[in-house]
Amino acid sequence: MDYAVYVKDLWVSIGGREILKGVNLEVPRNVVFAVMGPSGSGKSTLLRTLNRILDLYEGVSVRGRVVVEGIDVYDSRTDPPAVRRLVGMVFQMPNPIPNLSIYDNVALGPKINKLVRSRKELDELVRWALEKAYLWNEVEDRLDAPASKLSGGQQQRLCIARALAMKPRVLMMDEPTSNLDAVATAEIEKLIIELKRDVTVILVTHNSFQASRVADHVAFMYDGQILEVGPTGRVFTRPAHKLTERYITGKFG
Amino acid sequence: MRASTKRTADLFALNSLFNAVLILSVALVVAVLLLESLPMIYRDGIGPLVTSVWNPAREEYGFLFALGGTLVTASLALLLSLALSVGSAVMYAEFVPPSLRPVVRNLMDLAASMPSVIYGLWGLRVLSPFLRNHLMEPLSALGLSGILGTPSPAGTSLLSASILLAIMVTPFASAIIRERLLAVPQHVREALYSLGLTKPEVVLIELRYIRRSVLTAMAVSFSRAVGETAAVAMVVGNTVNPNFFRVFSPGYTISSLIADQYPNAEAYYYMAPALFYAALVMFAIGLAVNLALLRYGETR
Ligand SMILES: Nc1ncnc2c1ncn2[C@@H]1O[C@H](COP(=O)(O)OP(=O)(O)OP(=O)(O)O)[C@@H](O)[C@H]1O
Ligand SMILES: [Mg+2]
Repeated sequence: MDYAVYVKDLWVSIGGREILKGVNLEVPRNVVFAVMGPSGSGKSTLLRTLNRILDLYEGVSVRGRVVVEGIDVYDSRTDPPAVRRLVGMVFQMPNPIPNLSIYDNVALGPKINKLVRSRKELDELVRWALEKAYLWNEVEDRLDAPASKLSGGQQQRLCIARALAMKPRVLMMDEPTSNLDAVATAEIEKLIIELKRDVTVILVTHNSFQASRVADHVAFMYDGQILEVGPTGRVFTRPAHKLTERYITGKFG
Repeated sequence: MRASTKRTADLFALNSLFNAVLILSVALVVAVLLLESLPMIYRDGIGPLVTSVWNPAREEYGFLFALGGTLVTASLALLLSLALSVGSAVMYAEFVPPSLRPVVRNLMDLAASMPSVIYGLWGLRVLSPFLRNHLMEPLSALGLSGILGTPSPAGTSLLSASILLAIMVTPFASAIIRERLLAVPQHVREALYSLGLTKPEVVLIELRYIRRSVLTAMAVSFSRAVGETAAVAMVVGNTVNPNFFRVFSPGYTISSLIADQYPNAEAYYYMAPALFYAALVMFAIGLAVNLALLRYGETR
């Protein structure tokens, strides 16, 4: 059972409503794993379950087993912050800390979690993350400006940089290019493929072409369940499920 | 388009009118205070601000002791209420389960709306004796009375007044901070937690995020503490205490001095002007501290 992420019979309800209905998932290490599916099918909720961000919501109940990098995520002895340090997250809506500077948004995690030993090391880490997120050139002369001053697409890349700076083992990205132009999107896709050397990437995307370009495996979610999962080539050429086929050919979603 | 522009203009005019009325009434208050205190200002200049003598028989009125008492009690109350209000707001927003929140909120609102005389009675009968027996006497016995003063038999003191004030202003300050803390957007909170921060770490950053509201709350606290009269007059001891920093001893604040002395003012020439002078100074302090805190908040 040597997976980056292993999910067995996961049921999640919020306020009494079932959102995830028996999800099973096995994500090998060092791959890009795409999750596709129509709006409202539970993709974001699944991601929030994996790093226990779901704990922040009222009226949540989780049943089933989630193991990430060998940690039993919902075991009572598991410390949620420790899980979150391992599992980075880029949210669907860009969410920089608005009153912190561009620099501090990226530096905050490594600083508080003591991932660096000196200011110089931190500077280098921030620069590295911003370069990887293809944002450095646009912000290098105003690192002290508040993050809220950035454009939507820049904020999205800032959030990618922020997650990267934590050097997570698993990186979850929820539609990370939804606000980006073609050039920036291509750069982020390049980054995603490059990242797989060191981390496991779980990518939620609505874009079939993006999934076929970067993903090794694709899962298709529908109404709180994973209908189909497999190697990207196979799922795109010979989908086992009618709904998958209709979704990837753009007939609904 | 036309109509809405006109409406905006109307609203603007109305707003300006309100502001004008507000400024005018404040100016009027200041004018009255100034006018009434003129005889004293004319006679002694800033003398009353820097001397501590209250001798109506010889028409000597130096109210430094009360000015100091006001500054000491209001500052101590400010510090205490900063801790109390931030602490209670954080407890409310982060630890009280949502189902219990209405109860806690109603209790806080009740505490905020209680007449200050009731706080005064409680301060006199419960708080002051308690502080005397469990804090001031033991510390005095350790030899601190040289620095902090000697408690009175009833325990009425500048310290009692400070603590009572802190308790009185906390519900207001706490409500301001609590509402802003609850208004921190969920997506920002999620971002913080997603970086592996623990709850205390997140709370600290959230407090930094709302620091302006904390400053506003402190400005409100300070004004209320400076102006509070009934409760303070009951627990502060109403004693001329030139060593107003000896907080275990009884003392005076400007507001309690006015409440306590004004009834006698008829009998003297300069007492009423002196008390108005003191009121003017108190007003100026409240205003200055408020402006300073709010200005400081804007630059951050
Ligand atoms: N905090 C919440 N409280 C109640 N219901 C929620 C909450 N968050 C999500 N849901 C519900 O869970 C279901 C799945 O939502 P989720 O955000 O996971 O979908 P998604 O697949 O990410 O959709 P999209 O592609 O539009 O982002 C939706 O029906 C949504 O209404
Ligand atoms: Mg989503």
